[in-house]
Amino acid sequence: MLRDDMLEHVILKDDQRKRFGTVSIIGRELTVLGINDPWIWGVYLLCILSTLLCVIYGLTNWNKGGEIEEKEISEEAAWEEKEEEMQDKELGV
Amino acid sequence: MNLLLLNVIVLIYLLVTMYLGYRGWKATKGTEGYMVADRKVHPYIMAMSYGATFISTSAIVGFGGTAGLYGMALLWLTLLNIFVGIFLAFIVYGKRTRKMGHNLGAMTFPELLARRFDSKFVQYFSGFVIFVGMPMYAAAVIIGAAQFIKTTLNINFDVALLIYTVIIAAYVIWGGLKGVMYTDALQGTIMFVGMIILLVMTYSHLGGISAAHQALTNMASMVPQNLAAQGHTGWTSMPALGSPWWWTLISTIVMGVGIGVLAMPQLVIRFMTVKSNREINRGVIIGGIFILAMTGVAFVVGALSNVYFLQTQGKIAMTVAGGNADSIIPLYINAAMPDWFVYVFMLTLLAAAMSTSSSQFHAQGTAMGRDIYETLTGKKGKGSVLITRIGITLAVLIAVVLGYILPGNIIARGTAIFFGLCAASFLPMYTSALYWKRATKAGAIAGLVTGSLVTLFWYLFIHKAESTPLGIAKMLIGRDVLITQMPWPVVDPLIVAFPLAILATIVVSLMTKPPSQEHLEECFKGIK
Repeated sequence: MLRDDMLEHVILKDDQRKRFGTVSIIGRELTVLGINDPWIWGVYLLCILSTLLCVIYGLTNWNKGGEIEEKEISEEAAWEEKEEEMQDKELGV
Repeated sequence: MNLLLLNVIVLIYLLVTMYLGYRGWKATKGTEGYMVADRKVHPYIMAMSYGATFISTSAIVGFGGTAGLYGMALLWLTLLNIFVGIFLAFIVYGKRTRKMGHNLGAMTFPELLARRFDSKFVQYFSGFVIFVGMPMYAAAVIIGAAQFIKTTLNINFDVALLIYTVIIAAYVIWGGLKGVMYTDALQGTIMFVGMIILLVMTYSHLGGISAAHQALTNMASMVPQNLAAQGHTGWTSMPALGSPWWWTLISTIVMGVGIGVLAMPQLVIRFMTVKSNREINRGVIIGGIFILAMTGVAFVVGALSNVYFLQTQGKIAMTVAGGNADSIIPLYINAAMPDWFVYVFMLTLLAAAMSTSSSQFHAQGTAMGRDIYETLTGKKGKGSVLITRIGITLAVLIAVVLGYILPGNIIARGTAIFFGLCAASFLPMYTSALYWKRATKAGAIAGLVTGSLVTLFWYLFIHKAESTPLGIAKMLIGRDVLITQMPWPVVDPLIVAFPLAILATIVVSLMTKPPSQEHLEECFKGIK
């Protein structure tokens, strides 16, 4: 739905495109989820895919990386003690 | 405004927050209990607390509003937020940071870098960069919170800013740093649910996903002429390649914030307190979903607010907001959502802003007290506690003053400035600290100094958006920018400073003597 008075802007925009040298890579007919620009619907889908990547990574490594935990406990006890002391000093609690 | 409803919601919220704060405080009391409680911290709590510190009013109000202006092209930032800010940050950076921080007993981000490169200069210079750069970001968060209070309670912006400042001052003084993990997780959960409701309501109001997007696509012809001249081509298309609009979107907003997150001092420190890589692995799931629900939803809804305002008021969002993108999201939520939702959302945003604000002020305080004062004078104890407190007070004052004097449309830009500065100054040094054993002290210093000074120079003399209001270039060379030829006045400092800093780190490292084997063994103990 394009009103006549809007056409002026469209033409202006096309001029703009030429000026900045935009190249249309994929034909304009392809519309995904109501979006024509492949750079936008592409990133819309990529956002969802990268979240899926996070989920899959987390699930497949759910129990990995906890093995050295035991060894670190004694080291960490001393470390935490020092940290709390410093934090207390800093906050003046 | 429904006062009774507002009061009931505020009361319930405060009671739950106080209860969780008390539980967290009790659980972390005493060293033994502290350690055990920490070890038992559920990955959900860890990731939510990371998320709530990462995402604040700045992301939702500021960048959501920016999406109302730029459109859905801002989703490139969401992609980087998820892929770089969560996936790479947790897996590639987080795991090694955790182990190295542990090996070196580091408590702050500058301290980790300083101990890895055995350099005091790294610590106080980094502390200085944080103290000087962070107020812009702190002010951006404060403005975001005040904008929402202003719109919801229908009061003056200055009064709203004052109310928020009083709350935040009380919160910082009360000592809101201990046991915040639980409250962070609560805020994160409410934000998550709130954003999902917001997305569903927006799409259903506009007739479904495709219909809503199509309506927005059809509005391309309504882009105001002045924006079209800058390269704006519509809300569901990329800005014209190489136009000022494109450069600002890609170099400042998407790259600056998307990459800068890796080297944010207050986020890096979260990994140092995580207990094992297993928690990091599990945190990736929650982090990824959380960020998609936060920035993804904020940017889609921000862009779609244009359709809503067109249908209800016959105007685009930017016109309704009086030209200030920062007020688009508050206006949209107040106009389109039921009262109860608006109040719950406001409280959550304020709580999220508070946890971000207090960690920012704390980071600035310790930067001044520990990283600068202690390192330079070698004095510890009473003096540095006093300096830290003075630092926190100064940080609050600077942020509030900036909150009053900064112009509109500043939230996203103010945030981007600090993120970009962190990326250029710290990221080459931080990456080589974790992955490149050949990196030397001199190389790290060269990268740090190059990154921060080139960024500063670029803001003062090249990047028009900052150099014009700052006026230093005008004073010294008689014009706003040193190079007037496009696209330089709109190219973000990051694009130049970050590669130069990487180059400086590598070249100087290769020219200087490698660090001793013993020191490297200590740093990389247990890192494969």
